[in-house]
Amino acid sequence: MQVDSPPVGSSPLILDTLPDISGIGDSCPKRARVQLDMLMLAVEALDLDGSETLLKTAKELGLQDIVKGRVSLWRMRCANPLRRYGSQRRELSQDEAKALTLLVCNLARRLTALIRQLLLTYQQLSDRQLPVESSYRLAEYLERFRAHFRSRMNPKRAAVMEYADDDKLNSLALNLLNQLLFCTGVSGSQRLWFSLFDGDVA
Amino acid sequence: MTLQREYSLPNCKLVVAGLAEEKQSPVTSSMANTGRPPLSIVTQVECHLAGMESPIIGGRELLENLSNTVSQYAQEILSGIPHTQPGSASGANATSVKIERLTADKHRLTVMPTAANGNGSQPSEASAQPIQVDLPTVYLFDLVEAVDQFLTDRQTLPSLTLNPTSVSRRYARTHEPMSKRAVPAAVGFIGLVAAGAALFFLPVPEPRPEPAAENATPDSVPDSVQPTTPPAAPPVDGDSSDAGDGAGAVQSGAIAPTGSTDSADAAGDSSDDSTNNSDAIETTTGTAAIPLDQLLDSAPPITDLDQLNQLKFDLRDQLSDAWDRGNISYDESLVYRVAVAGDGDILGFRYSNDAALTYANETPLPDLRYTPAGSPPPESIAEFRVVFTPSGVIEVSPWHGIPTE
Repeated sequence: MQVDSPPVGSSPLILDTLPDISGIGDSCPKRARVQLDMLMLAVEALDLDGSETLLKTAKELGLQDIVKGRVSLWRMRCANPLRRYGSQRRELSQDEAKALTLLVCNLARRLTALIRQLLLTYQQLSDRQLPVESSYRLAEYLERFRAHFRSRMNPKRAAVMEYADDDKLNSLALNLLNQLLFCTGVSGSQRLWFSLFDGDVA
Repeated sequence: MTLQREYSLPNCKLVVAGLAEEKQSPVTSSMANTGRPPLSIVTQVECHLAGMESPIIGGRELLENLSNTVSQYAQEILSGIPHTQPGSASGANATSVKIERLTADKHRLTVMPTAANGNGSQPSEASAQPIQVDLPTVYLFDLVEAVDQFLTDRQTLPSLTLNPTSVSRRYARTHEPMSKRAVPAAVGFIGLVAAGAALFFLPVPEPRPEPAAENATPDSVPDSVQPTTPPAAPPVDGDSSDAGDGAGAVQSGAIAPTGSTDSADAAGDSSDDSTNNSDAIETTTGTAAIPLDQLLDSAPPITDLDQLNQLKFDLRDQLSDAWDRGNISYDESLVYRVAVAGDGDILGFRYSNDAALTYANETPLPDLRYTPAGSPPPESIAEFRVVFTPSGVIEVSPWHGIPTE
């Protein structure tokens, strides 16, 4: 089976909602690859069935030509150079990135209620200067995110070492939660798509 | 026809009031069939935010600024890269709306009063001072979402749409890192300067002259021994025939070195005496004999016959292996007195005839001599007479003869 051959026929129509970014070639910059994988990590920490839902949603959106299955999804996520088995050389094409963007936004939209609830809780806790552990749901999300992050990221990379601390990892998780919230809106996928290339276009 | 559109979210309500343009009557009539004529002229905009008593009120300009700023800020949250495009910042000072991040989950929205804001119904009090409100992320998102819904609504101000673009590399990179990126370089440079300044005050280390150490010791040795013979007594010329064998010679230095033929063993004396004195046969050449003297003084000789024999063979093998017989340039046997430690190390040697002094460098002795540095002196030593013959044979025998038991 030739994985490297370009997909025959036209790409799924839904990808046309996101324009091609010119000036960077077909592959995505490093920050985009990291960001997409991290957002998916946060989704998985929110939703225990996250990885299953990802695949199911891909089928519903008609993206099965790009996200063929568990392995192809995993390979795309391995384009994140921070991963244990990731590699700087693995590339992510714009179509693949579009598919992942749409997936993330779609999943985030389903989780809107939970995301809002967690963020409001966090805001109330920080207003009262209480630790995040005071809320069961929030602590659960943070703990799952930390576990996912530590089991999948390569601890030898400097960018991962920065998060050796639980507090740093918590703030990363909360930041991703904020970002997921902004993915839920009507223009979320467009905004996320353009934000992926911030600072990388000419 | 007066129209009012409301975009409502839990924490934010955006109300756009305006008029439908009459000119587009053919279009509007068709739209009217769908129930929503397009709103194309804005008369008033109200933005109700939770936590504020009074809404932000303005006209079309407020709406445009608000949607631009809010939309860019949302993208900034997603990417973490600030949007500071000079076009929007300086081009027109139209950005009467500003958002800045206070903490991870607090954002400050500032609406500057402009003349344009007042073109609605209430010019005076609204333009008095800027409206400032701190929004938690969720509230801010509701504002973003309200604006987005308004922008994607094709029936309300169709000319205004969401036009997100990625920040150019030019603007993204030059924004804040300049100061931050300078820090490591500056720290490194300052460190270098500090180290340089500190080292500048250290004296340059001077190479320690090797001979100085050796000249120092011979001076001390004769001083202690001299009382018996004044140093300036070359003609004393002790007959000294009795001193020919080792025992007396070992702790000597007492006998005036100059006249001594084969015996004086003036090892302890300063080397200048020996050098200008041609027949000082076994005198020191400064390198080997001095520590040897002290050793001979301090360490008892080995008298065990087996050990002596073992040492003898070891010494002969050692010398024989290391001796380059290819360049023998002498026709006279070279005789040395060699001191060996109990473990076989060659501690030192002396010359027993002229040729031995002249051709010392052709023997392996100088290379094999082992100088214990800083370690305690050996408990006992053995002395051997070593003869290198011109024919390439090494003869080794105990200096004091084979001990009799």
